[in-house]
Amino acid sequence: MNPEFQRNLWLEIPAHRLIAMPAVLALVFIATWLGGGREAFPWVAELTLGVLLIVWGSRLAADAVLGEVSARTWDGQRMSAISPWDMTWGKLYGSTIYVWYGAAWCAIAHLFGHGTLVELIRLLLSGLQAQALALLVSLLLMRRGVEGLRSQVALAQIVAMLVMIPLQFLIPVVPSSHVSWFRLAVPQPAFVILSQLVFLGWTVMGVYRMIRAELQYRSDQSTWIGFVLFFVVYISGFDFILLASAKANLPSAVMARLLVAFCAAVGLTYIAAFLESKNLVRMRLWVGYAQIGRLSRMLEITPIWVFSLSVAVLLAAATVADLFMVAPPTATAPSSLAPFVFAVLLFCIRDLGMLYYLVLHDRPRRGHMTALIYLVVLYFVAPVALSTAKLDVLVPVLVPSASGPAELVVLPVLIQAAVAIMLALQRWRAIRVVEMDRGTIGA
Amino acid sequence: MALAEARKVLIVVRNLVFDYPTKRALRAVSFDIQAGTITGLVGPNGAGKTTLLRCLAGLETPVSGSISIERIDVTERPREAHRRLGLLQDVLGLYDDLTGRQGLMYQAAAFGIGPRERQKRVMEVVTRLGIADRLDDKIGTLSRGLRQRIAIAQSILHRPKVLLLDEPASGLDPDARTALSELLRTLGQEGMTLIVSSHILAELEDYTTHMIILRNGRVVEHCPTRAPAGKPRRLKLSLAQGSTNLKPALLADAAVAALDVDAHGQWARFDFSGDIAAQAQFLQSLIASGLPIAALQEEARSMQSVYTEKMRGPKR
Repeated sequence: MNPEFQRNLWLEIPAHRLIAMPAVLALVFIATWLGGGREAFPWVAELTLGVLLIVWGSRLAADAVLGEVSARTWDGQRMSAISPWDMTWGKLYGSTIYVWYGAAWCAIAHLFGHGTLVELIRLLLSGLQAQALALLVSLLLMRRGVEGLRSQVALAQIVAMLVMIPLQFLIPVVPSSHVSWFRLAVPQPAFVILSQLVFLGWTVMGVYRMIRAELQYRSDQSTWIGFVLFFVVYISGFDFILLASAKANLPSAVMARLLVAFCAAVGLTYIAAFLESKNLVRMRLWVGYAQIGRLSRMLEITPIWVFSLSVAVLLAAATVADLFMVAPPTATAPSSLAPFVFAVLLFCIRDLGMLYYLVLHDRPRRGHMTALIYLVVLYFVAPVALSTAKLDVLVPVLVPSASGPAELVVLPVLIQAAVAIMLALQRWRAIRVVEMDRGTIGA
Repeated sequence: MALAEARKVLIVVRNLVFDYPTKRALRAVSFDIQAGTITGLVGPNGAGKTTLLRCLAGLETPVSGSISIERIDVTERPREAHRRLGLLQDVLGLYDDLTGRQGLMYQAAAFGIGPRERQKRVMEVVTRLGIADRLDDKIGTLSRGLRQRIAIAQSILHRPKVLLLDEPASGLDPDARTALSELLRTLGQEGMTLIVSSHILAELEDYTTHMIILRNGRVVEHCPTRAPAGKPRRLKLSLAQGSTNLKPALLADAAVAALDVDAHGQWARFDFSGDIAAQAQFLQSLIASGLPIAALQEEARSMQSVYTEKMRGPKR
């Protein structure tokens, strides 16, 4: 048996807990029986499954590695001979084995109350997804060095819950409906479950790659690149985009899809930039490898946002090419689309510059939060203030706009991006390695 | 001879540089460690001892330089190096909710020891460490000394060639410290190569064969803590009263070198290149010459004195 899974079994399922879980669940379902009869079983089971798998399960998964770090056992595991894949599933399903034990009882109750199998499968997949996501985020936060292990666990759990609870409970499965995706009519339940399976696969792959890196294997960034390419294709495949594009007078369906894919790539760039570690030593190494021409090593440690931004740039170019070559601007095509795409890229570059400027100093952990606050002010508070002051004409200076004059849409943000990059470079040059403190002679 | 010595070298570190984001922790650290030696790693707080141990363990990646253990490049192939390494950290890193047996069985499995071999290997190690009778207690309920033995058992279960120990004596009572010294000496005698980081020099003196002094991220001294066989030993001769004959009597023996006699002719320090039989003969001849010999003793430079001397030097 996988040693990590075995260890978790020893820790998570002692005899008394084996009895406690069904006993508590029996009380819940007896109360359900008395209160609402057999018909109430499915939704109570779904709710209980949600609490067990998404809320509690994501907590346990987030704690799977961070708990080891806190107990100072992680280095021992890193030095063991456990393979990255065994470590991945040993952690993911070992640490959450107890909630899955409870989930098995709930699944029985769900089926006993004639709940649908599709709903049950979907909920179980959401549970797996939430746990994998929590573990992935916890690993990212650990690498980024967010202060306080407890807060890292809480943050990873919150992210997993914020993503999975709305997806699970706000998007109902409607057996009779279809999803139109790249003009294919796919039954909605099948589409939802297949999508969940694919996203779960990517998340587990992400966890595997992170664990692999922790276990000192050399890694490349192919998983992230693969995910970015998958995601932009996936998201641009929804055909409701075409309806929206018709309303926005976009000249072609391809352009509409490209524009959505471009925005998705930009979104992923922000997510990557905020979650990724900005270790100064790694950055120095990156520069060093670049200077001596060790490109393979340089690519291994290149920040992943670089790849999603590159995809965004390519998609932006394709969008503009489509606008000018495949479908030349017409009276109905918005002439400001090209400046808008360019402005989005420049805003993204400005924000990356600002993020690095704030992070590159002696207390980098606060930089992310400060950058987040600045972004909220720049994108939400300031435009509202401008509008209130009847200065709407200046809004394109602060947010990408598809309606203003091209010079106002592009030029100000071009200057902002240049300044942000310059400041970040200045900070970078100002940081140097200082001498170690002499310390005290402790002999 | 040179070839034979080169064969024995197990750990080779060359120009190792390690940076924390705003601090350089190790600067061009280079040394060789021979198989079967016990090396004390000493230095002030912040000198880079723990960082060096973590680099040797393949847990940290240096900015530049190389580390090889049994010709395995630790920075390039850390996973292979881990099979040859055991690490005992200052904070032991044990699973308090497992029993000693479970913890060790887990560790054995984690190091890829087959199911049939595991039980045998665990019993072999715990018997050796004298903890077989506490194997079914929860680790969290054991004393610091016993917990440390469990941790050592975990780190040697896979029979590593090299054992790295970071402040192993911290938090131990005097009895447990003595037992630890005994254990480390035994492991060394059995051929394991140990590197022990510690602040307690007197204790290191009991069992180390070599010492590395780190200061400000640099190796300022790497020397044996005992004179190797065949090398001159430093002796001190004391007389009951001063004698002008002391110097000529000593210089008459060809085995005496680097002589240092005090102004009153009451004591002398010198290197003596003969073996113990030659030393007995030498002493007899001195007594026969009429010198009032009070004592003749080997004067090993203590780790503390070497350390203090090196720490007094200018900071580079």
